[in-house]
Parts: sequence; structure tokens; C-alpha cells
Amino acid sequence: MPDKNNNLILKSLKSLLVLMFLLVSFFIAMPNPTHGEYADIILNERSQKAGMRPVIFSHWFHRIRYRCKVCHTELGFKIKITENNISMSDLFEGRFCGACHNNETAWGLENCMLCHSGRMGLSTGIIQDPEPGGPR
Amino acid sequence: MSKLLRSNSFIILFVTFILTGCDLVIMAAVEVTDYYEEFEKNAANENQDLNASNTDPNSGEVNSSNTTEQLLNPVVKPWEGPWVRLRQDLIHDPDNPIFELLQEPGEPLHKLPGAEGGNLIDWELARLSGMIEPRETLDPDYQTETLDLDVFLDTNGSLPVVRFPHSTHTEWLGCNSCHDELFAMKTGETKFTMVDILNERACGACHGKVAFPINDCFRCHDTSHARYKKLIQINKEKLRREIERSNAG
Repeated sequence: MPDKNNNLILKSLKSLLVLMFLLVSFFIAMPNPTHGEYADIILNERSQKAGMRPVIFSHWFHRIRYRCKVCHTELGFKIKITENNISMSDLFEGRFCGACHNNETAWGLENCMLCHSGRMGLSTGIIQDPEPGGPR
Repeated sequence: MSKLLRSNSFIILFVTFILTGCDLVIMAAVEVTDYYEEFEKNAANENQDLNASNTDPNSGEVNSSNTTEQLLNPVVKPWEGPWVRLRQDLIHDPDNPIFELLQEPGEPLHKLPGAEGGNLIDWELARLSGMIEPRETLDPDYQTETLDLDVFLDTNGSLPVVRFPHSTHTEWLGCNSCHDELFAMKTGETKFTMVDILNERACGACHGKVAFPINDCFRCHDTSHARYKKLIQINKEKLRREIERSNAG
């Protein structure tokens, strides 16, 4: 009898382990909840408080047209997102994005929704590789 | 009892398999519905073309309405690739009234040379081959610098030596992006490890965020120790010659 009980406990433990393993693997296999394109930047320091959608800046779009140094040296964008403190008044005065988005080089600032196109509730940050272990 | 337990674990297995199966099916269904509209459109366009080609030889005349329609709405071949569609990327709001105006990332990116990780694009190759021509300055009077100087890092490690090419970096970036915030001007003064890079310091400020990510090991660790020794010797000889010339002149 004690042997049988031991077996029972062992077996139940085994089944529990299997269940745990499967549950964990199931949650790991779930896709990443936020997955934009690599290096997309979400800016939501001021937008949502002012009732606008967060800004999504896509590096891939701008990288085809301009080199990094145009924005990060000539226009004075800092490498780290949090070090930049940009407001719409800066843009209207022709600084940062406003240097190009002035209806001459690129479309003007009155096209709000082209930039303010993110989902509400997103926090400021950069989209990184969803699978750092290898290609998608 | 043992039978019951076995059957229990069997049920658990079965249920989890079904759940994972459902998950996969839902993911596939989302993708399929997205592609479906485009394929339907294409099929319609192809049918139009076929009809036009069937009627043309019989009548001997070109159907003008069809051709004008085709000119106004050219058949855009749908791109295929691993890039996430805006409708499914969970950061763009599909309720945005001008959502349709936004460009899909895969639309331009599928034409550019591929690489592993990141945007899956070898941006430097794309620039060198002339596929993209990114502008260097906004103000035509603004002056930028380039520097052709290779710096070798990790010269005593077990992996191949890292060759840092200033040339490619200064083609894209300005000096002030790295110096002196991330790196000191003097070689070897800033000490960092792969852990720093993983924690977004040193090279990790860009590599892994915008530039190609660090799982592409041998794109940086690309110089064998033997080649490194040769390169150093060649550089030393060049320096000697230059010094001799300057002394003679």
C-alpha cells in the first residue's frame, strides 16, 4: 500500500509538471503584444493629455530619404528619446520636425493625423526586435 | 486509479494541444483575411485583362475604356515579406480617418537588399548600390565630415577582432552623435563589454535599436587575428614611410 501511494504522488506530480510546462510554453509562444516595425518610435509625452493620438515616427521611412546626420546632427535630435523635449510650438517655429514638415520639403503641420496615428494608451518608447535570437 | 491519472494527463495534453492549435488557426486566419482582399482585386484585374485580350483580335480595335481605367489604376503587385502590416502592428490606430494614406513598411522595404534582424535590410549595401540615395544635408551650406579610419576593438578576445569603420559610420552619422557622450576621442579610453552594449550603452545606443541588431555577431567581429596582425603591420609601414617623407621634405 505505501508503495502504491508513493506511485500515486509521483504520477500526480508528473502530470502537474507536464501541465505547468505546457502552460508556460503556451504563454511563451504567444506573440509579442506590441510589434510595430523595427525602430518605430512612439511619442506620447504630451499627445494624449492634449486629446491627440500618440505620434509614431518610423525610422525606416525617413532612412530611405535622409541620412542619420540630417536629424541627429543638423536638426539637433538627441539619440536618446527622453533627452528630447519637443512641443508643437517648436515645430511651428521651424525646429526639429518643423524644419522639413513645412509644406515645402514635406507635407505641412496641418496634416495632424499623418503623425498622430498611434493607438491611445501607448507609452513613449522605441520598438525593438521582437525576436532578438534571430530573424523574424 | 493509475488509469484515471493517465487519462487525466491525457485530457490535459489534449486540451492544451487544442488551445495551441486554435491560437495558430486564429493567427493564420488574420493573415489570410488580410491577403484575401488584395488577391481578389488582382484576380478581378486579371479577368479584365483576359477579356480585353479576347475581344481585341476579334474586333481589331483596342477597347479604350479598359486602357484608360488601367492607366488610372495600374495593377500594383502585392509585396510579400515578413514585415508587419500596419493594420496588425498594434501600434497604429486603424480608426484614424486617414489610416489608408499611411505607407506599409513592406512596400518599399521588400525591394531593398536583405539582412538578418532589424528591418531585415542591409542599409549600407542599399546606399552603396544606389538603391536608396539618402540626402546628406538639409541646408546645402551645412558641412559634414567623413573620416576614413579603422579602429580595432577586442584584439585579445576569443572571437574575431572587431573592426570599427569610421568611413561607413561618418557617411551616415555626424561626429557629435558618438563623441564625446558615448565614446572618448582617444582609442581605448572608453572601456565597455558586450553587457554594456546589451544595456544600450556604447554601440548599443544604436545597434539593437535602429542600426542592425547585435545577433548579427560577425558583421562586427569580422577580422581574424591573423588578418588584424597583417593590417597593423601594413599601417606601421605606412606611418614610417610618411614620417620619412616628411623628414626628407
